Amino acid sequence: MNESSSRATRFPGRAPAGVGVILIGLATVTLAAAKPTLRSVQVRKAPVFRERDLYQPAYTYLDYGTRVRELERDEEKTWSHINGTDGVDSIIGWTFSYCLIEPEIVTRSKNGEFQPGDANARAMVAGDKGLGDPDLKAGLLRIDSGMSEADFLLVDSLEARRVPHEDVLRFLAEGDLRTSGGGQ
Amino acid sequence: MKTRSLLVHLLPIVLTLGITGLGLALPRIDKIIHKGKGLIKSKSLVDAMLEQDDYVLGRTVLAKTFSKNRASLDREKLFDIREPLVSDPEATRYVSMIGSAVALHSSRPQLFHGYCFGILNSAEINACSSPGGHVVVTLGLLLLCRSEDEVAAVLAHEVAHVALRHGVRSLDKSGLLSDIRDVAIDVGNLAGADTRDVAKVANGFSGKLFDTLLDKGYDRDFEYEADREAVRILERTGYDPLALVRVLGYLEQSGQSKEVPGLARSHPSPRDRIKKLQSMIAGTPPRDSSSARTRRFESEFAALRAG
Repeated sequence: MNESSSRATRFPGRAPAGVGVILIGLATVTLAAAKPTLRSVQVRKAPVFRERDLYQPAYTYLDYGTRVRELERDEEKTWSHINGTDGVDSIIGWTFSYCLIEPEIVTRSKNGEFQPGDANARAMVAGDKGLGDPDLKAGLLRIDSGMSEADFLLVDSLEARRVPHEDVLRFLAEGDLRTSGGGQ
Repeated sequence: MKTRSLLVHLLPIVLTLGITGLGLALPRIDKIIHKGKGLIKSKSLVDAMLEQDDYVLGRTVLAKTFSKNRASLDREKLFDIREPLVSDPEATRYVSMIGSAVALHSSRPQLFHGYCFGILNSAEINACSSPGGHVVVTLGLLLLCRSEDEVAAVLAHEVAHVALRHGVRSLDKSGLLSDIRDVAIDVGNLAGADTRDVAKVANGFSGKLFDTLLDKGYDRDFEYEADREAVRILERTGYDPLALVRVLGYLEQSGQSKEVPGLARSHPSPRDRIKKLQSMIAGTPPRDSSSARTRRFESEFAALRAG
């Protein structure tokens, strides 16, 4: 953008002012469109696909709180094209847009001012920086609920039954169900 | 973003306080409350709720469901308290697979933790879901189903409730989310408000919250909406979209729907639900279950059926 604008200023005779404005505008638009937005993964494991296709195995998963660059969204705003930060720069692919969120997620206190179970953690915030750790919230609710631990163990046992994506794909194929077609 | 911050932080506090009934010291609550001052009013309160909120709320609601029914076991006998979840590994995995297959074709295939499915050890005909994606279906309802497609129909209805966020939308509809926001703003305006006072106010919401999610259940509009979405999910997954209507027919015949206890007491009658679906499914030809699906249905549920 700087080069375009300076050239328009430096050579007004060769490039009329209107053209310069247009060039600046175009460059700005281009840069704005290309500028990635930093987002955080807001689910425990966000699947990353090589293509926008539900019926492919996820090639990796990003953990809750991982910061990514959102390069673009598809027209329906269902899929986001991302690449990773936080040491996972090599990851590039597509994930569900709603799995990403704008504010930074902080899962642990940087100065160690509170720990899980500490009364100061009851407010469940990570300072003013952004979102905290949902497992901390869930843990505190579990401790403070006054309900039987057995009831939460049942919930735990139910949650342990989550089926991996790849197994679902196999199940669909074996049952003559839909195994292609991409979107949701 | 501030709307998000407020709801994200306040709702779990309401939950915590509500469940304990205690005015706990919350050293940072005043700070949180002050975040409410700058709410973006035009933003939907439901949209402001995050995936993690649904999950934390859902976990607690489900535990509360178990807890509540444990306490009232003698009266309602909703499930076998000695072993609330059916432990048959084949049947449990099969139900999880079917549920995950339909969830993949919902509008929200990925939740904070993911969908998880269980079989409640009860002869009642019932199913329920939590905002966090926990879905339980009773043994009684499963045994009513005659094919995998029909089991998928039951689960697709519950997945639809989750995907369409009927849990938090119920809270919104009941005014609860708005009440929390308003009180947060009011209290936030009281400079130096004592955190115990804030806790007291927040505590007042908890009864309403569980009343909305557990006792009243989803209202009729949400049930009809979940039925329509379930038919779409079935179609997208490759199951017979008419399977839901068949299951509703069995429910009608069973007669249990007239006195459905517990979680489904607000459901409209199966007859009304079928009627509402008629225009949507008119002209849709039935899709035969494949031989592969028939085989695995017979095989995976064999132990369950043998009792």
